[in-house]
Amino acid sequence: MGLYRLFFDNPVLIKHVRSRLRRGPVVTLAVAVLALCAFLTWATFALGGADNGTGFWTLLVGQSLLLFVAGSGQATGSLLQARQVGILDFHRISPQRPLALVVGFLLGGPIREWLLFAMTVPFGLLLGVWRRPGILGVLAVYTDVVVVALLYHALSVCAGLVARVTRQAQTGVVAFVLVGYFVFGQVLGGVSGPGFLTILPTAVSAADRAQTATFFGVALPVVVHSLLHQIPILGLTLLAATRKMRQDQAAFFSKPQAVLAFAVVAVLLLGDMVGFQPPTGTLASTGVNTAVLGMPAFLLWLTASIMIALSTPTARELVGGVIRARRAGKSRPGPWDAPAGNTSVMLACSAILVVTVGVGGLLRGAGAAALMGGAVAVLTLVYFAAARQAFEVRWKGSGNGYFALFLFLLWAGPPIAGAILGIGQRSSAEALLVSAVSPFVGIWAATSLGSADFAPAAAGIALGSAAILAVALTQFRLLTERVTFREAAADGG
Amino acid sequence: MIQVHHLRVDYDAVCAVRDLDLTIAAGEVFGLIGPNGAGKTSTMRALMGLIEPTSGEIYLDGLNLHEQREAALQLLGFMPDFSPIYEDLSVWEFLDLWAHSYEVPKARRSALIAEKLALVQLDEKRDAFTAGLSRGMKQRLMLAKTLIPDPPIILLDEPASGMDPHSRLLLRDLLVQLGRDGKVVVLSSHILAELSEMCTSIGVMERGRMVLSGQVDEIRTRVMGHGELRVDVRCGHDALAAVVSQAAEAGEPRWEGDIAAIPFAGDADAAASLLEALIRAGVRVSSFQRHTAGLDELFLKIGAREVA
Repeated sequence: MGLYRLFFDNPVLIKHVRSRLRRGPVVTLAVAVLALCAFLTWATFALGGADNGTGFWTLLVGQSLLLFVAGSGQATGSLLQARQVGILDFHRISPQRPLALVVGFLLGGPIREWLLFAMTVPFGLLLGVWRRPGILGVLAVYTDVVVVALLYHALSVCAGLVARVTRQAQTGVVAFVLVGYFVFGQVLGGVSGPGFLTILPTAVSAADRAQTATFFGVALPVVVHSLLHQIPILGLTLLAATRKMRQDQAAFFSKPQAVLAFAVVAVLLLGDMVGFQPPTGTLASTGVNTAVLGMPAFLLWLTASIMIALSTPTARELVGGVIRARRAGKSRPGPWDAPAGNTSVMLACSAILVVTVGVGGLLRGAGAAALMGGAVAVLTLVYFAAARQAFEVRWKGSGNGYFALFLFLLWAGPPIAGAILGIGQRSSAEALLVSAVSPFVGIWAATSLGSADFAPAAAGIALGSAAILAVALTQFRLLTERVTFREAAADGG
Repeated sequence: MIQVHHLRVDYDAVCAVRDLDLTIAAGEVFGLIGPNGAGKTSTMRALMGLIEPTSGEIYLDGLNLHEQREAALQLLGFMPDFSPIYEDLSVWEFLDLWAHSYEVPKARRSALIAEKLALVQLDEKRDAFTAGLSRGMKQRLMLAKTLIPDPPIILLDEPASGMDPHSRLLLRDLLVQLGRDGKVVVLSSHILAELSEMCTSIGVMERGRMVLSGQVDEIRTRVMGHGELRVDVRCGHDALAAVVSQAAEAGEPRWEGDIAAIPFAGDADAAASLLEALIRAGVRVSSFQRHTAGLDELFLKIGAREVA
C-alpha cells in the first residue's frame, strides 16, 4: 500500500475530515483558540516574558492539553463508538487493510485537535524563536510533542479496540495521559528511558541543547534519545493495533510478535543501563543496584507479564487449537501458534530478561544481585503464566476475575501485612521479610543485595516463595489442561 | 458457492454452533430459520470471518475463509438486523465512504451512488443527514451500502426488522432479483411468511445444530407430506368420494362443511386431471385449490418434533 493512499486517500481518514471538520464548529473553535493565543502572545511581549521563555512554555502546556488530553479522548471515542454500534465490523470486512483503518482512526479521530494545534504553532514560533528556547529548541520540543502525541493517540486507539464503555475508556485514557504527562518519568526515574513518556520534563530537557542522555554509553541530545525510545514503542503500538483491528478476538500480539516487542523493550532498557549515572535527588540516587538493576528488572518483569497475559489463549481457543491439530494428525498446535498455551512466550521472555539483567549487572559489577533479581523475576513469570492459563481453562469466563483476585492477594497482600507488622512492632526487617513474598518487593530486595542488612534474607524468601508457587501452579495448570482436553475429546473434538 | 464443514463456535462455556454442515449454490436464496439463541447470528458472523470458529472449515466460492481470508471477504456483502451507520455523515457521504472503501474508482462513484440510491428509493434523501432518517430508511440505506461493491454473496441478518410494508416489498423484490442474477443470498428472519415468499431453500437451526436443510418444496414434502387439495363442492358429494377413491395420488377426503380436504401426492397435471374427472362425474365445483404448508407451520412442526 502506497504512502499516498495510506495518508491522503484513506476512506476512514476522509470520513473523519468530513464529519469533524464541518465549517460551523471548526470556525467557532478556531476563533476562540486564535484569540487566546493572540492574547497570550501580546501579554508575553508586553510583560517581558519572551526573554525567559515563559510565554512559550505556557503555550506548550495549552497545546499539550489540546493534543494529549482532548486528542487522545477523541482517538478512543471515535473508534469505540464505531465498534459499539457495529460499523467497525463493516470496515473489517472491507478490502481496506487493517493498517489503513488504524491510520484512519489514529489521525482522523483527533483531526480537529491537530488542526487547532497547527493553528497555534506560529504563535509558538513567535514566542520561542526570538529569545528562549531559540529556533533549535523550539523544533526539538515540537518534534518531541508530535511524536509523543502520536504515541498517546496510538495507545488510545488500542484502548478503543478493547474497552467496553465509551465514557470509562475516555476517562481512563485521559487519566493515563495526565499521569504520563506529569508523573511517570519522575516515579520511574531510575533510568532515563521510561522518562520519555513524561512530556513536559522531557520537552524542557530537549529544548536545552547542552543536556544529553546516554544510550549504550553514548551521550546523545535529549531529543534524539527520546525519539530513540518513542519511535520503536510507537511502531510496536501500531503493530498491536493493526493486529487487533484485523479481528476483534485476536490478541494484540502474536506469540513471536510478543517476544519481539519484549526484546525491543529489553534492548532499550539495556542501552539505558549501560553507562547510566542516576541524577542526585531522584529515587535512583538512593542506591546504584536498586536504580540500575532493580528498576529495569522490575520493568522487564512487568512487560513480560503483560506479554504473557496477551499471549494466553482462552479456553475456547485452546480447545479449538487441539481439535484442529488432531484433525491435522498432530497431538497439539505448534508452540508459537495462536491457540497454543503461553509457555513458549514465558520461556522466551524469561531468557531475554535473564540475559538483559545479567549483562547489565555484569557491566556494573553487580553480577550476584543481577542473578538473584533475574531468578526471582523469572520464577514469578513461571507461576504467573501457569496461573493465567490454568484460571482461564478452569473457570473460563470467570477466570479473569479469579485471576485478578489471586494476584491481588498474592502481590498486594504481603506488603499490606508487612506494613501492618512494621507499624505494630516497629520492625522494618520483619516487615520486609513478609513483604518479599510479593514480587513488587521481592525483585527490589533481590537486586538490592548488599544495600541493606536483611536484603539477602528477603531475597531468599522471595526466591523460595516464587519457586514453590511456580511448581504448584504448573502442576495445577497441567491438571486443568488435561481435564479440559479430555472433555473436548468427549464433546466431539 | 458457500460450503461449511463441521463448523463449531464456542463462547466461553456455551457452544453456539455445533458440527454444522451446509452447502449453498449460486442463485439460491437461502433462509436461516430458528428461535433466538439457535446459533443463526453466530453462523452469520463466522461466515463473515468476524468470529474465529472453534473448529471447522468455511469455503466461499472455493476460498478457505481461514487461510485466504482477504480474498474470501471480497466476495461478501452483509446487512445486519439494525443499521450501524455514521450519524454525522450525509446519505451521500456515507455511501461514498463505502464506495471508496471498496475501491470503486473516484470517477465512477457518483453514478454508482445515484444508481443504488434510486434502487432503494432514497434518491431524494441524498444530501440529508443519516441521523434524520427513519429506521426503515436506514435499513434501505444499509441495503444500498451492501450492494455497492456488487458482491456475489450477500448475508442479511433479520433484514426486514423495522421496515415499513413498502420497504419490505421493495426488499423482497430486490432479493428475489438478486437470486435470479446468480448471487447467493443468505438471510435469517423470524418473519417466516416473508421467507416463504423469497427463499428457494432453507435451513432450520435449533440449539446450535442444523436440524434440517434443503430446497423449500423438498423439505415441505418431507416434513408436512404432499399437501392437500381443497375443493368447495356445491353438490355431488358422493360422486366426489367415488372419483377420489379411483385416483392413485389422492387419499380419503376429510369434509369441513362443503369443503373436501383431499390429501394429494400428485403433480400439477395430476391435479388438473382429477378436476376434469370430478366435473365429468357431475360434481359442481365452485373452488379448487392446492394448499401447501407455509414455513411457519413447517417451523412449528419441526420445533415441536425437536422439543419432543
